Amino acid sequence: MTEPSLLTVSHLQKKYGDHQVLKDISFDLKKSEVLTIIGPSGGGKSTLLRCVNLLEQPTSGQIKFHQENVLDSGFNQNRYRAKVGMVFQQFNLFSNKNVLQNCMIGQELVLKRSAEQARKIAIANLEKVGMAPYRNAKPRQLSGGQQQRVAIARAVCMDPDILLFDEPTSALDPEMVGDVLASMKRLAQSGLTMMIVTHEMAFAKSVSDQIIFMSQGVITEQGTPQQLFEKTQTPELTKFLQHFRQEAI
Amino acid sequence: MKSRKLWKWAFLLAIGFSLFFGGKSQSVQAASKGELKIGMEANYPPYNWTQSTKAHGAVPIDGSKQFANGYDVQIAKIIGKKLHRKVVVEKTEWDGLLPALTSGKIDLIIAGMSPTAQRKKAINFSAPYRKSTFVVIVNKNSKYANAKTVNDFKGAKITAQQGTLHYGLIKQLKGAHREPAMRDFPSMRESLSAGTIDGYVAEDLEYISYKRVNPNIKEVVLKGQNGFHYPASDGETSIGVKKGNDQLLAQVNQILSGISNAKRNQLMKAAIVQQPQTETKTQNWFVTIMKTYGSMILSGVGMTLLLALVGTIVGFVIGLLVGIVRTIPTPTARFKRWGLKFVKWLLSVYVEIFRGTPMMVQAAVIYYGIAQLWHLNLNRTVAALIIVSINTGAYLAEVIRGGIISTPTGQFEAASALGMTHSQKMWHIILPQAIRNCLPSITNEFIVNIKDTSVLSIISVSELFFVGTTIASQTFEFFQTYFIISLIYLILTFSITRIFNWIEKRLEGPQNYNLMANQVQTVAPKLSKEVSHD
Repeated sequence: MTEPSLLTVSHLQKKYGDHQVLKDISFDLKKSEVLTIIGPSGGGKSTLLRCVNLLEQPTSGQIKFHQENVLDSGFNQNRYRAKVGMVFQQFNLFSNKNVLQNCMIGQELVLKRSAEQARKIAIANLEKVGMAPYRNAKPRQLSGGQQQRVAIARAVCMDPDILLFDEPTSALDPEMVGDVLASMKRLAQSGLTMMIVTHEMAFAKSVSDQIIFMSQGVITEQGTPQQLFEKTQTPELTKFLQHFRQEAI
Repeated sequence: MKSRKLWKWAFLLAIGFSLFFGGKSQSVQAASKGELKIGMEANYPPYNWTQSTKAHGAVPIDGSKQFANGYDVQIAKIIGKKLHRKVVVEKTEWDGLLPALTSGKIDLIIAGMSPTAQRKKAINFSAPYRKSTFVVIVNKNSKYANAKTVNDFKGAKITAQQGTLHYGLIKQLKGAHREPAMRDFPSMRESLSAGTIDGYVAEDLEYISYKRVNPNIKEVVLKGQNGFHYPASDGETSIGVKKGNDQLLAQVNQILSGISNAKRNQLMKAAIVQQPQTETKTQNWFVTIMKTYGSMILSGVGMTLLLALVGTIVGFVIGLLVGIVRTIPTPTARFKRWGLKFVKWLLSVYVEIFRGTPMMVQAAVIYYGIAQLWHLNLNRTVAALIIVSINTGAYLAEVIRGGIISTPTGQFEAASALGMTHSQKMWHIILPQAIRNCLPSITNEFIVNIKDTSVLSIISVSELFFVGTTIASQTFEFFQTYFIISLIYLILTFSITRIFNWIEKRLEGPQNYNLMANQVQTVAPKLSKEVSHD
């Protein structure tokens, strides 16, 4: 059972000038695990995710992927990024391409798949999120929830080892949230390794193997959903969760 | 990978520069041995003018389907015959004559030019081939019509041709307002009849010529103590020869001494009779102009379109490349970083220089400068194309850079997250969006190019405006000619706007999308409710 870790983050720091956004972050992610990061806004959750994907350059620390240090100067960052997919809060579908092209372009350019093959994979993944009928639509013609489902399909088409979700439902109308979460849950059940920043506590509780609670740039609490939600240790997390319990209907 | 691209850039740049400046294959001196290239305005009757046929022994104008004739042309033909060289007229703006001669683009200036002391510093002059007096030309019913002395012009608005000694003489008219100098005689004639000036200083010949087409004018001759004072040579007209070309100067002087005064007067009289007249107005002016000059206008439209189209397209390519290079993110390796910094600096210098100077000045500097410094005789159409292209490139470089940086960062990030390289991101994601967003500005630049290529008349490219000027100077129908020309400009710019709007629409792609009925599901799937909020 001692499976090697897929992703190991150790002593990660990120500074913008004098402002330290991430202070000494360390965690471990194993294959097929779902890791959820929760915490108050401004706590560094998104920055952590963006550092993992190298959209931000960490100030110091280590990120190991398959035992290789991602931050080494000789490391091929583009190949790494192709294996670590990302779903954004603002969807970021390519606005000059239609739904199908959005799902095909990465496969063709980065994975060098043939157009035929890319198309098959794209349609299969669009079907899984219920967006195949919209394959000829341009992103701006779709609702937020539809765009986010396409964005998920686009990321899955790349056969990623890990898929990162940066608050995927925060920009959505409440009635759209369910569809997106359902798509994500299905992915989690299929065995995909996922790292999710979210404010959907019920969802986090039901899909996560591991939850990290972050506030003010540090990991305040870390454990299984049960440990965090039932046996809350710190006053910060208690306060944070209280806010959600009040809101729950 | 990036460094290799950088080198490719540097290499291309180097080739460009060497093509531009290095080639000395075409020596000006060698090229002109067979032909005798004569510089003149072809717009100063009766000395020289432009006509559409070769009637009365006219000589073809280089680079056009027009012919030049006049007293200067006839003198040139005598010289050419004696030298056994074919006379070719290089139609050149007055201010461009001296640079054209010193840069070797022409062999002789025969343009009714006086050998003033100032000009003698730059070029040599032959013995005079014509002597004349200076007069003030006024309207017959003007209050200055009866002036006798230089003291009788108080308050009069007087002008003369730019760069001529006539303009200096105005200072001697006591109390007269010296109006800004004008480019050519047709414009002064027009201003005089329109009443915007009270008179202009010119040679007696101009009076004789103008009187034939407009009987309502009068010449004021100012002689004696209270007349114009000027060195004797200023009333003379001589042939300009490049300094150092003493052999040609001697030959010209020898030939001139063989032309008797009687022969000169005969030639001048013939020129005055043959010079262009206003046509008898039996037909509609529009029909007349279009009938006589239709093909000339059409070729002007063609040249304008060619310049604007090629200029905009090449300028767009230049702008695209410069814009792309200027937005390359800073590489981590030190060598690459400095290399890129240097290339970016070079490009910003290019943009600053070509955006910061008028295209007219660039045209003059490049066209005459290259000839003078490197003895490279550029064809003027080619020169014009190069100038418009690099000028447009400088503007569009900034437009495209703006388009690239204004593309939402999310687009860059999403492409990065898929593992695309910088160039893949640019070509497939960013540039298509940036160019689409830049299209209105590119349309703008195209339209500006259609209109602004008119400044290239300084290097005598026969585009629409140049053609218009030529026609106006032949017909003296200024309003009518320029009205037609402006109408054509409007039609051109209007059609181009429509075409670009259409392209913009096309780039947006179809607005409709049909839901694709697929085999597996024809409706959106029902999603389980288990994960919704509890």
